[in-house]
Amino acid sequence: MANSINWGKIYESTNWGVGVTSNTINWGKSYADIAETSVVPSLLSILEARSTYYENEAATTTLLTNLENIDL
Amino acid sequence: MANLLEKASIVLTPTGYGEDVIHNVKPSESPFGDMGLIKNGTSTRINAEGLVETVSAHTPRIDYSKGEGAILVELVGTNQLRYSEDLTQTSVWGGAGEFTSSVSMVDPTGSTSSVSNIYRYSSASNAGRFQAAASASTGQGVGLSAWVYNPDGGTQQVWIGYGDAGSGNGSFHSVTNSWKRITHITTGGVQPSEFHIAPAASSNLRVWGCQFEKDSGLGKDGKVSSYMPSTSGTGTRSRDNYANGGDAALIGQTEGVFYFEGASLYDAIAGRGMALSDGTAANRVVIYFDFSSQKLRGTIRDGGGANIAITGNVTDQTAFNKVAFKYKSGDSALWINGTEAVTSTSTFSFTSDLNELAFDQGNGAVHLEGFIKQVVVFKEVLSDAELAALTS
Repeated sequence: MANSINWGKIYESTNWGVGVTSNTINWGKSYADIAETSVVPSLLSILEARSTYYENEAATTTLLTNLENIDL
Repeated sequence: MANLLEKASIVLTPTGYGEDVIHNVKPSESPFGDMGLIKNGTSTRINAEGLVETVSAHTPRIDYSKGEGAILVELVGTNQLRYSEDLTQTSVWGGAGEFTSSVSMVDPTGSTSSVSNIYRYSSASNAGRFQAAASASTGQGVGLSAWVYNPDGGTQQVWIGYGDAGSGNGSFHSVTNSWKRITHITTGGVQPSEFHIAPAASSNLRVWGCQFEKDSGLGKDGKVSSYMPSTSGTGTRSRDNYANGGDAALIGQTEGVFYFEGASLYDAIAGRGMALSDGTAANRVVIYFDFSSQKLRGTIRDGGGANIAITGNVTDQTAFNKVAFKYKSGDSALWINGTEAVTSTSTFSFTSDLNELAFDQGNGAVHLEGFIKQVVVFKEVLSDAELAALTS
């Protein structure tokens, strides 16, 4: 939801940058390398690129995310 | 520490495919270890919209008939009925106490076509539409199926069987105004020779895609598989031959975990396997839907004569089960749905590399028959905590 009031509005644009992994500016970009992100979108992107037919993405994302979340 | 997606060497899901091949999600670079598919002729599936769809030869089928996408793997089949979508064909279809005509409407494929309407005017128990099978059962199990639709509103009880309702050889099903596949399977060694379907008395019923299929073995229960359309002759389907996946670099040669989530097409008619192997029966790690009801089996064989078989229980082979087979000499186990079901301390040593993933028992026989949601291979054994989490 767009922030339009009080303190929150100030932080729409600060020197911390925007986002985590895509942050390329100022202080914020130092966190990109250590942010924990999923490899699932990347795996599926590669799979789709080499597939003639590609479907069932939502359920596949769930399956892969479940595997990724088992980290014991 | 790594998560299980990172640890997995092969991850196969019902997602990406092409002609002759089903693609692994992982590895994401060569060697991909994809399984090839050889399947002559067209076949059908239930697509994501719930519609019957024809699939080209040698093309994998992602099927949604169990409510979730799964790789559908089947054996050869024959629909012993002719004109499966046109019950007005009096050369093969007969009737009693009913009148059958053709009407135009949206059929189970989602297309508008001519489907058959049976109006039953008689309340006699033998009323209905029927056809003698091209090849009757001589003791093999039989599966009967048809898509039906009630155009009259409300709910009616529809009979499907290998005899009329008076014979008791069939079952009633509630049918409303949406297409629904109704089924009936035989149990024991009966010898059906006829397909019979009947609306409720004084009711109309739209019918499409009738099927009578019999097993190859005697005395087994019947099964209902994917739809095989027919016209003047019987309808047929070729086997899905999934093989030549994996790679020696992707499979643990002394230990590992072979995991799958899937459901059998039926319970216990025959053994149905998937394997990591050397392409023969000599060296292999196999998971079977067992030929005994409510059982799954893990088998390890090496070229030196080791033959290890451990069997665990499931409530229902036809439900989606999560099964992990941990193989390590002296420390093997079958994990099923969150529990270590059975263990083995027997030893083994493979005499040639396991280099193939296939939906058979490793030597191109005892093919899988079912719905596969995922297959995952790990090159090293996992901890009990990881196996419990994986199969839960």
